[in-house]
Amino acid sequence: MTLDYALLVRVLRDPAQLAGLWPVDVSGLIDAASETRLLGWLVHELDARGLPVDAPEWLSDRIGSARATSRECERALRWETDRISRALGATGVQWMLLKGAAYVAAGLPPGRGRRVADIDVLVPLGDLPAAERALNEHGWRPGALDPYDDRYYRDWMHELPPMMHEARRSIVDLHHAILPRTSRLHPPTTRIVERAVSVNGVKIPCASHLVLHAAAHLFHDGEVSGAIRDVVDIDGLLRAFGGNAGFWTDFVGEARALDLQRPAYYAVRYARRLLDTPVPASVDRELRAWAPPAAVAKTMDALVTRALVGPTRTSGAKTAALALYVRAHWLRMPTLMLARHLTHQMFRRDAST
Amino acid sequence: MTTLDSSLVSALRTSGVQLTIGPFLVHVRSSLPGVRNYLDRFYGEFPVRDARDGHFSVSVVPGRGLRRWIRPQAISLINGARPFYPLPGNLAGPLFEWALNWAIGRVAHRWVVVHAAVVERGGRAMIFPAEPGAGKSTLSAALTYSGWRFLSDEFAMLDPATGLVWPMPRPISLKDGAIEIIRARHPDVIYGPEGTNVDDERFVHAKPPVSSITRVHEAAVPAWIVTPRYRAGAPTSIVPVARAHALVQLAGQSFNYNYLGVTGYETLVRAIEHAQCFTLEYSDLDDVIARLTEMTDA
Amino acid sequence: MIWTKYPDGDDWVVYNPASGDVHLLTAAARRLWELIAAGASSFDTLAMTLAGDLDRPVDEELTRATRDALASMDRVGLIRPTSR
Repeated sequence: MTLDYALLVRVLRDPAQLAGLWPVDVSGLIDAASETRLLGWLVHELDARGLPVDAPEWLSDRIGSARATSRECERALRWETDRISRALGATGVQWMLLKGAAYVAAGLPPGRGRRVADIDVLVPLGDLPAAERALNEHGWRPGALDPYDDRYYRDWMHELPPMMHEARRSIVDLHHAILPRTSRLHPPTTRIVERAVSVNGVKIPCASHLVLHAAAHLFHDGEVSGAIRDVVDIDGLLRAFGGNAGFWTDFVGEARALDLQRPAYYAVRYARRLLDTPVPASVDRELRAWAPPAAVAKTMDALVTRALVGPTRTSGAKTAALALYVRAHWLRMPTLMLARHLTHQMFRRDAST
Repeated sequence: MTTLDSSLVSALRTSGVQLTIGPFLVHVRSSLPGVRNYLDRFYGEFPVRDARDGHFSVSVVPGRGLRRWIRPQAISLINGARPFYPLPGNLAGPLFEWALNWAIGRVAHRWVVVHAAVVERGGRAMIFPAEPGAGKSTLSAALTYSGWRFLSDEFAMLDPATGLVWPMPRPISLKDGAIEIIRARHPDVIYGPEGTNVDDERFVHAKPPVSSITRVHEAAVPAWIVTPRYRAGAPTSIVPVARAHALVQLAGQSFNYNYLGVTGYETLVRAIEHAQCFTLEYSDLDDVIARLTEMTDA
Repeated sequence: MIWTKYPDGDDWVVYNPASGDVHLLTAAARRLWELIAAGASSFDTLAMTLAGDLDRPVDEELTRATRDALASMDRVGLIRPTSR
């Protein structure tokens, strides 16, 4: 049984088509969305449209289960944010959330039912040791990587390996830059930190930087390192911000300031082509100056189609190092629920001594 | 033992068939004879239709390329995903069962699912929440073949709307020494072939009595919540547990109550509220069966 | 938070929807939580009130137990310190 990615892409582009589907197709969509980490998106679209109408009980059950999963994903992210805040808040470190956790904190569309493998936190390079220490103290362990992978992270990538929480099994990825040091592009962290905004008690990148980070993550170094969900994120962010006065001007300006013009060009190009994202004509013209040579553009078109319209693939270096964690999803899964005991002998009136 | 009729056998191999297993409609597809034989043996009395939809879709397919023939493999797909590594082909039938366990444990949030065995007497259910390896399958098998009704050896399915526990009389999974113990006591039960699982345990599936299977539509009220512990040489001891403690233990064995939020938690609260809660230590099956039967008669 | 107590004992169970966790607390720990939820924030006030309830002096054992209980509740997310 192959998953119906073609149908998924059709409804991503035109969610109104959800209304005309047979139950077995809606069911197949749930499966495809689940595999591509777009279940939250699908549940939201179905609920917003009051679909499906007159569903058989088994389908209502499936959607209800998907809805429950989506809610739990968000709850878990919010709780982890709360716990990270508690760990880092006392240290004076200038920390901020990136990507999924940021979307959820800000109530942005890509945050709906967001399923993540880990939580990305950005701190200035100088704050890295203090941040790492604080997270250790609050239960995040440097991770059970073998010495080779651990050194790979620290020495080659100049990154900290991901840290897993000893009880909750959640993973925090602590960064001092938004792209790996081995990348050709080096968007300055200081500028991202300076322009950070506060939402619900935590700091996240400003609107332009959220989009540019998603773009850089997907398109840095002329490769496609991601999946269809990343394009849905970019489309969702651009639709959410695009109507705000000054956004597009700021976006273009920041793309230059962070030296992310090429990823910005690709992000907008492919969001428009795949998902029909509305972009002002003037912006479109400006971005065209950042287009690659025609031959490169053609290769990229093919790469994108192949990489983004099929099963999710996690990219490169991270996959090897996280292989240990790949099947251990930290949403409360069987046998990890621990009941915590808060009793003290002295507080028991029936204590024997 | 009934078998799938020929049109359904053909459908099983191609587009799949739909089995009704307790509260779930399960779409099953497999061209492997091991799966067909397994379904014939253990699911012959379960309703089956030529349909492709349902709560879950489980396919068990042959290994790729050479591994279809040389040291053949079986691979399971659940709702299009492949969460398991391939297994040896002789485990194709049990792989269907384990795939179903995976699905119920992860995508069945219409229910509050508790890792527990469940048996019933007089319309009232006895639930044994426990870690894997605590012996709940052995205990529930022994009670079942002594006349209790069998609901499950793996999952207590609690309905948030009514608080009732719903049956899923699937094959009972016996491991290692439990195999000999139950076989000696009940040689006429229908057993599957013995195998070794990925945790290197010997296992055998045992078919529940047909009466348990045909009474699949009868839910039961949770009346006793009993945490079992087998200890060699131990006399049977049934010790009451304060309900607050029992609630926390029950929550500890529930995969998904928090997916249902407050409703999920309150389903557990309610189950405990109306039940008697005990810990049970035992070593002698005859004695523990007699004691539990006596307790439930009272 | 959803609090549950059954007639057959003095212990409480609390479900925290934010964390998804359940916790088992003694009546005294629950009382501590109640006082904090009602606005008490000084450790001395908490210790004294609790001592009064339990009909005990504010001795070293009570102080230590109160601190431990507060630390545990903070660690699992049942209470939040007002300042750090």
